[in-house]
Amino acid sequence: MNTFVQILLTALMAVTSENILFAGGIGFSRVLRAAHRPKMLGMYSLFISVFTLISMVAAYFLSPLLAQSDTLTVLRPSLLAFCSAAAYLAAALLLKTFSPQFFRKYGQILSPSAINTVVLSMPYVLKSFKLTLPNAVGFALGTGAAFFLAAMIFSRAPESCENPDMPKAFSGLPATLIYIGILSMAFAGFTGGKLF
Amino acid sequence: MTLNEARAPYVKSEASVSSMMRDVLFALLMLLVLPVVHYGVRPLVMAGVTMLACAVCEILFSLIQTRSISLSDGSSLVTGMVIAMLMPLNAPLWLPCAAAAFAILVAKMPFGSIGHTPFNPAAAGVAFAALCWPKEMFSYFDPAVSQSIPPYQDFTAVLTHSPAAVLKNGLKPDILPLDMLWGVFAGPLGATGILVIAACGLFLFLKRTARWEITASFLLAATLIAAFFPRIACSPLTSVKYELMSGSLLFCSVFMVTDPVTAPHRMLGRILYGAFAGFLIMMFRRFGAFEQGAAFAVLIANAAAPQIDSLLCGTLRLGDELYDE
Amino acid sequence: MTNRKTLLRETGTIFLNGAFFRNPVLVGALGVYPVVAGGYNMRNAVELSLLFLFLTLPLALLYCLIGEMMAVWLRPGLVLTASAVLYLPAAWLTDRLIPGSVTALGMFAGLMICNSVILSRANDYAPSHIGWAVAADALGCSVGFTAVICLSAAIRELWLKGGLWHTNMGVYGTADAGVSLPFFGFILLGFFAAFVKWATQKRSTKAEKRRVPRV
Repeated sequence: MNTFVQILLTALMAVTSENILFAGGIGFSRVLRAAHRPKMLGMYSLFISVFTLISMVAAYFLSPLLAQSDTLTVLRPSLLAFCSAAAYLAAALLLKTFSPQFFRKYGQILSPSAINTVVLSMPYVLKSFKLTLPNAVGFALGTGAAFFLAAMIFSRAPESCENPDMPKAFSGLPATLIYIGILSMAFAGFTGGKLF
Repeated sequence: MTLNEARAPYVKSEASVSSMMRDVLFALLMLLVLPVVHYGVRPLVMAGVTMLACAVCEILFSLIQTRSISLSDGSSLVTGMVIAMLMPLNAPLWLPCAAAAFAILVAKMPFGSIGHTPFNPAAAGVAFAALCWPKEMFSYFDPAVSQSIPPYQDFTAVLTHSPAAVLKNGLKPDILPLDMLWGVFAGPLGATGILVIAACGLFLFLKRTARWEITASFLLAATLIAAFFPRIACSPLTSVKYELMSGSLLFCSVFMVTDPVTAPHRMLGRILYGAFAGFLIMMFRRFGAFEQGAAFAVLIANAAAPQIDSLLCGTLRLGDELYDE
Repeated sequence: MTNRKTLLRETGTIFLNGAFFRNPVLVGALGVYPVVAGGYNMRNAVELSLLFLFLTLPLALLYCLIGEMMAVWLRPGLVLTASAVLYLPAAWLTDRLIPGSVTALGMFAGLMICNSVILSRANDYAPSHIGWAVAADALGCSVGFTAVICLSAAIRELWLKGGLWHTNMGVYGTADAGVSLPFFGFILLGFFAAFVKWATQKRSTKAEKRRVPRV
């Protein structure tokens, strides 16, 4: 029960007060692209959760080795990226071999979600090495959910960001960036700016 | 047959947009009566300066765009008034002006002015001011101490904690219930007169300018959370009393969440939206960085409004391509 | 001679596109994170720009050489791996030029490994283009990225500190107030993007007018 509560709380924090997507502005390039494909959104978020979990667990076991020396700390980001790349290649190979149909359908979002994992878990890998397993699971689930919610919100943003009455120069991406900015500002009200 | 796409707020005739704004402006002016009686002309000056800042920003943006200037709908004046109402009386006058500039130049005009704003401009302006100048935004002068309040100059006031800040610190505010009702306590300029806000709300609901269901579900959600998860050690009723009467919760429920442009367009949607905003404001109070989270909560609820609408209309099904890449 | 002129002109166009008219940050919404979250002071902005240049140029050139040899499904994973490897010399070089920069940048430095501009150039553009074009594109994107992040950082630092290039404002932990927060970066980017869009529209209107023969 305690473990379940821990998972739930960490997930909730990842979606709300520690939302690194909104309050931290991390990973938006890919959120915007994911918002263009609502069809894939559920699977995209699931991939992110799975890859995040794998990366967090890998980083959990590997980071103490690196923490022994200051020079080695420079390797942490590379190591996390390497873990994600390896996870992607393994997943792609497995899916391509055993479920080619699934890979044909979802292969296009497999690599962006693996790369996004590096982006979304980097702050935690660099700042906090003491995540327990339930925390890591909660964080992975919460990150996937936060990604899903962000992309859901932005799948509807074009209606506000492209209309005939707005200045032409702002139509499309400029208005979308301002839209994200205002939403990011709202989430900053949770943290007051301090995220980590 | 051609179907013309109208823009929000969806009212019976074009002329009634400005009449709606007139109603809201009238209600907001009523809110100024008590502060003027208590503290002199500074509240009027603050409101006037903020409205002027909004109008000037709108004119400037229109000039840059080489578009015709249209202030006749009165929306920028309403934005200015709402911003002024959420400022502390002792705030320097540049503070509401900065919030107004942000509201108009960032949250309103780039999206195509009234009818297209995805976020309530006043909420965006206030949130911006809260994040950039938290000290000025959340320092309230003590109404219990008699001190002269200059009409427009900056002044050094005897400061005190607002009830919202006291609650945030886990303590029980020390205010008489009657003072709370009449707004004789530290807080934002127009958000303390509980009775007047309630009367203004009633006026707006009767005039159908604001939708009662949003306010009702908003208050119900906030009440339930305050009753079941009190922040201070007290009875549920006391918790509800302090939560609803402190900060800008009540003001927000009448003047901000009810903004017809940013709210959902269906009855059930509006109920869900109000409840969501009420839930959010309580989350901000509990977990947020500041004593007041109304503006932040309204912005997040605004972002959810189109989703609520589309979920209820059944136009959003996961699996549909909403648009081509 | 004509070929060389054409090549130079086209290389110039590619460079200009990357730097301004098709700026990856303002037009493609790529690599937004370092600008909005990391670029809150000039020092960070310059350090991140150097890191960007040192990472994107070799990575793009590498994938210009070997990109077409590998299967498309393998490429994203291998690009990420190569980026992780090339990050080490890039970080070392940046640290040599501005001592202590990589440590001060903290996670902003590490996140350059998966910067979407860098990865998309190496994954999608580099394998199908010739070396000159790839180099011009990488340099153009670097200039474009530098311009955006430096301008944004200058505005934010001026607002916060009233001047530029203060002693390092520190790592992320200190960017906790007002315009140093990511939201303001997004809003600035929105206005910059609007400016680029306006300029591009003006340019195409002019080009259109030039194309219409005078009667």
